[in-house]
Amino acid sequence: MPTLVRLKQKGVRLLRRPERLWGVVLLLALIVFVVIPLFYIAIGSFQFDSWGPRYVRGAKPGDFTLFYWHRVLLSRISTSIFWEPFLHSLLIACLVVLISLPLGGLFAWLVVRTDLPFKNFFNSILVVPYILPAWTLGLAWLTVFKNPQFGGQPGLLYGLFGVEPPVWISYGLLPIVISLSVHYIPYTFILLSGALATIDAQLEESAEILGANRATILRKVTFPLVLPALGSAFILTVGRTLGAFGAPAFLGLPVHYYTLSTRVYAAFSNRQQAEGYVLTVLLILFTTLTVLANQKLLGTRRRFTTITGKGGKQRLVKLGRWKAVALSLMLGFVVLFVFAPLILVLLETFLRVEGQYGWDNLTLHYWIGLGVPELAEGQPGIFRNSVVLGAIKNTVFLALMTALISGVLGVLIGYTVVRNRGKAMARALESLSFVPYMIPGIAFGGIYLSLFARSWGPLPALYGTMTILILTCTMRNLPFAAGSGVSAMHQIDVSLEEAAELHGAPWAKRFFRIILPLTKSGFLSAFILTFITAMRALDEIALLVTPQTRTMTSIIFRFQQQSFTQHAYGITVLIVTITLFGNYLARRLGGRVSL
Amino acid sequence: MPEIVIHELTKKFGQVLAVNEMSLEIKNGEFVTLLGPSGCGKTTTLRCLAGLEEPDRGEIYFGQRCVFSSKKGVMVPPGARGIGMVFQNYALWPHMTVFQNVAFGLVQKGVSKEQIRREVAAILELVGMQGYENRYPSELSGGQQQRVALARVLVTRPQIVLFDEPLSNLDAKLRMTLRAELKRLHAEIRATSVYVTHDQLEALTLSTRIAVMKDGVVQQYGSPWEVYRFPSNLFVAEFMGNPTTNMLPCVVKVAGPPPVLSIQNSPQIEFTLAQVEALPEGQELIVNVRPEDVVFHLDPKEGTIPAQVFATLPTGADCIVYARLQGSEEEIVLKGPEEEVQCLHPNRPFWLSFKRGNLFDPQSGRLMGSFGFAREQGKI
Repeated sequence: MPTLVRLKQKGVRLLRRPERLWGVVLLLALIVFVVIPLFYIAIGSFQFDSWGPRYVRGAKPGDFTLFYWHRVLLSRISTSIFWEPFLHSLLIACLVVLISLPLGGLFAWLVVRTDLPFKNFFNSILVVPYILPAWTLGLAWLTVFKNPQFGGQPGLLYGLFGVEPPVWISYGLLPIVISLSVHYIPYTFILLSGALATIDAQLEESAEILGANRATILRKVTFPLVLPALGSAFILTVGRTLGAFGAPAFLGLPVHYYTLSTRVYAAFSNRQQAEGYVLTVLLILFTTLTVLANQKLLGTRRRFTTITGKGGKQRLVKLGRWKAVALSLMLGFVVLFVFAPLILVLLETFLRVEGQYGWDNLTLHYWIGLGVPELAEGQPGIFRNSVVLGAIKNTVFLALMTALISGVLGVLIGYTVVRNRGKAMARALESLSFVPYMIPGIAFGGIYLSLFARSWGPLPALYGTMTILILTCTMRNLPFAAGSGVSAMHQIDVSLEEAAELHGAPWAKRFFRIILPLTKSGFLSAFILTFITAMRALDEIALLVTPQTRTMTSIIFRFQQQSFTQHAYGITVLIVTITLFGNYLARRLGGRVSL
Repeated sequence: MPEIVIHELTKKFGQVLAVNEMSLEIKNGEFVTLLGPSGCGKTTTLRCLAGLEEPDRGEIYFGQRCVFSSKKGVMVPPGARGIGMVFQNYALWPHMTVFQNVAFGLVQKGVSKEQIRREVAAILELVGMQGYENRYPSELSGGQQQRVALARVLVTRPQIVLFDEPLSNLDAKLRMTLRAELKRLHAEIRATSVYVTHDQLEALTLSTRIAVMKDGVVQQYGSPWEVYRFPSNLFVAEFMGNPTTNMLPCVVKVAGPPPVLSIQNSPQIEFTLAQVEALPEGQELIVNVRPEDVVFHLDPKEGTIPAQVFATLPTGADCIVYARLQGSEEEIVLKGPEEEVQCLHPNRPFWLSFKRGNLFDPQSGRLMGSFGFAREQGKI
């Protein structure tokens, strides 16, 4: 009898806190879709793949071997497979950090702490390069500096002035570094302006009263206080840059300038599976190290919690005669690296023959024209092209489903984690949902490609279906979804729910009548942001799309490789437009969260 | 130690007038509190003294030295004013140890390392924080953080110390302890101190003088006793004191002596003010009596008011009694030692009279006179 009573009590408790039940289910799902795949490729890197017998006599697929690790790291060809791409990645990461950190930091300081005019404008415009995929700037770069030696028509520079830019300007390191830097400047900007704005003004005022001058305060108080944010920006920029795929692919592959991530792509698309595993494991190792370093940095003894009281408003630094300099620097950046690229990309879609800039060369052919053999090998315009239209349909479906599933997962994880603080299950759930953050998109695609190519346990073979794309994008998005879920739930004090519980409201009622209405706007904006993220996803799905499941980004990639430039740029324009609009919408909604 | 002279100080934030032509003189070594509800301009005044805000008009003198003058175009930067300031949030730098925090001001002055070590040690001992030199602020409790913040301010031996609600983030018990500590430190250091708070108890316990502020204007400036006992207007009378003071709008029925008054909203209730000589008949006034100055009688007496208890709130040594005047909605609060007041309870009517209090003009809200005090008896 006592066991029965205890079982009944357990049942009642579970009814009260059903999230404990699905918390376990979610945890299991995360183990299946995140943890096991990681082990799978780690183990796979020590086994012969189906091509194994061609390299090693008598090798049977599945046998244990160190062959691939040796091949990648120590063999004759490891320089071209690993070391050179790795050095390229490292070099790119260092240069990107060297450019984006000082500039992003300077912009943040100027916008937050000085009397620079047009702050609202800069605040909203400076995040644009980060919202857009990094490769859009790469494409814009090519419109200007494209070198006719490498296929297709020449760029603006050649078209207008007849100057043929050297290859190292058109492709490779320089343009990759520039487009990634511009992409990550907003990242530093956002992190640092947040840190600068939340510094308690009293910390600086007390130094001022004790006789420190502006420079001393900046050096001894302000800078050390934003150092963690700066460190985060540094480490995360390095990590993200190491894993970046789009820009190095568009700007590096034509001249065989490989990075670690494009190497991963090459290995998998050449069906060198085990080699791909080794490279993936290495790539994940580097990005994970950076993320762990970041957490270590943030968890030190000198915790930077400041009790925020009324803390007088920060007074703004008067720029005086430097105002004009600062203003023109920032306006110059915005015009050159935000407006000009977008306009150039848009303009390109109206050119009958690219590279020739003149009124008689303008056309709407690439938007609405029927295919003619002499232009783009007879590809009809974007809005009449069945391939493009199919891709748009797929993309919308993919983005909607991803946003929907991520949204639900975010709510559930957020609720479970916040309401069960301190429980092992909640901790595991929170940290596991963060794991995909450490896996670069291209690596994610590689893992899922090999895992779901054939049926796996109860799961059918998913390769070639929309499901695998949705699954990949959802998992990739999980850290963001869970993060916004947790922070939204944090805003609702548990007492609001308990008050309803005391009135006898069952869990479902509490959730739908109290929790959801209070977090609605937060989740709606997270939904929109996930939608645009999935819509412009390239890295994680580059290896997974098939002709049936093409997305807009994947056909941009393909058209660009086939030199159907106007088509590629036209679809880019569509993506940019939807992204900017969606982001505007999310901001409007997010701005209304007032809890 | 210098005196502080504030002359016609005005500070606007956009359209909002935070401080309005305020003048105040603070003597050497005084401990003056700026007291008022939030938004009354007290913090702005303090920040103007510190030089963290630039006033729009007026002058500020520290002793003979002009630190701000809109006429002369003088604005001495905060670091050059020779002041110390204790902030509400302690404002300890989280990336520096206790030692580094306290030493900061001395380093700025270019004091030698050896001397810094000596002075920091001495000041940490003074505030009772010796042995914590290598801790980071996040490893200290709120009270300890505030002691370190005090040490950081005092170590440079400022002639003027400004306090911006330094105790309001602490719990009640700790606040009491630190108040005593502040008083001890002030007695020891004798720096001219200006202290901002909205807590009247803090102001009453700490200050040599209190400036009660409202809407950027000083309502009254005087010793804690004066401000509490002889509030210059209705605002000060209502703001000071806990529980809130009694305000009875009345009309003079019989000029006296002794005058007979009736309550405005319940003219049938009449009572006499025995301590007052005479009042002009028909005069409207507000009788203001502190809860502890209400006298109660268990039997009816000539000129007293019948009342009925509706709530008693024991606070330990004292007891606060809320009563309603019989046949009226008018309420009276009285306070007395527990053992004296405990005989009052809801089932038993009792009678009230007033030992001492103040009379206010209902139109202007100004103090007309006081009664029952040895100094100012019946003076109208």
